[in-house]
Amino acid sequence: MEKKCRVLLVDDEEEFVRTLAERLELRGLMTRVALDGIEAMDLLDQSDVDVVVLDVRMPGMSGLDVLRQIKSIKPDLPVILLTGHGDTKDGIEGMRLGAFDYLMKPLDIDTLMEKIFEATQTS
Amino acid sequence: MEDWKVRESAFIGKLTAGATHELRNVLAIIGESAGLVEDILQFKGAYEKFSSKFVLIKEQISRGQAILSALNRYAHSTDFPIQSLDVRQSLQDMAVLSQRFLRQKKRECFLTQVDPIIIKTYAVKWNMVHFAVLMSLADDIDATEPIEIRCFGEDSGVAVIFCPNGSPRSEYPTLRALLEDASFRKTMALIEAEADIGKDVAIRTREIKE
Repeated sequence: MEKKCRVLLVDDEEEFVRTLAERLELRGLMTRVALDGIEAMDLLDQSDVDVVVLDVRMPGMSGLDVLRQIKSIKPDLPVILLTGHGDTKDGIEGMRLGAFDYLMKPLDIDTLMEKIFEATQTS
Repeated sequence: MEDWKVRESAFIGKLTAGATHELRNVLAIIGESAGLVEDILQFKGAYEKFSSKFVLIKEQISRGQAILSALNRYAHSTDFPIQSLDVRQSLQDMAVLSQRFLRQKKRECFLTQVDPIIIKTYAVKWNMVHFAVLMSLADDIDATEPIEIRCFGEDSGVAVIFCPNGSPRSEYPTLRALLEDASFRKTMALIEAEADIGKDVAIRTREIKE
């Protein structure tokens, strides 16, 4: 049986991220949800994931801070950043820090699926 | 001391930026929730009955996101009195934020040939001047043809050209009154801007040297 892709979704907007997780699961992915950077790092410590989808704007530890921490312990783990519409600066900075790519909210679910697939193929 | 605690425009900007960020999240949740319902209906084969409504929801969410993003960037132009301004982005935001006002006047605007330019200027004042010129020009043209906006870099700054595609009502009286207004002239002087009025209207701004 083909192994399901495991995705960690990190976003402080709980309703948004849990709904997104449901949509990805309907498409055959396994998801874990973290609502802040600390929870994300704990989950990464406890379980294996194939790709991280990470919101840039979060209170406390920002998405870019979380990205730096992930890259320091798991440099090969692909991270896809989510930025606000038109906020390309954070996305470009994230790419410089080693993010696989960035997508703008509002998300197109098919584009996210393609990006997750690409990320797992190249990692 | 944080600037927004002592400067009015920075205070309004901070509140607006925060509110637009929250509202973008509201739209994102609505969008994902509608998407989940759409997914479930598709998997159950009952999607067709509702497909046009989902298209409408997505269009309206995109419209809302575009307005909020433009307003959010405008709000951030109050962060510092002088800052680097992405001129192309600011003009695109002006086009989005002016839509309602132009629609009320039965006018519209669109951007062509807009160079990617970044200049250091009084960002709020730069935005205000160009917005005011667009609105005044809209009052001065009869035709329903749109106002075309172009922009290109010059040696020490930027030129924004407003090209009304219709006929002017007469010598742009509203725009001329604006340009003769003492407060407006003071603002123009502060951002080192000059206006050229022919059939087209050019606003040339020089970069501020700190």
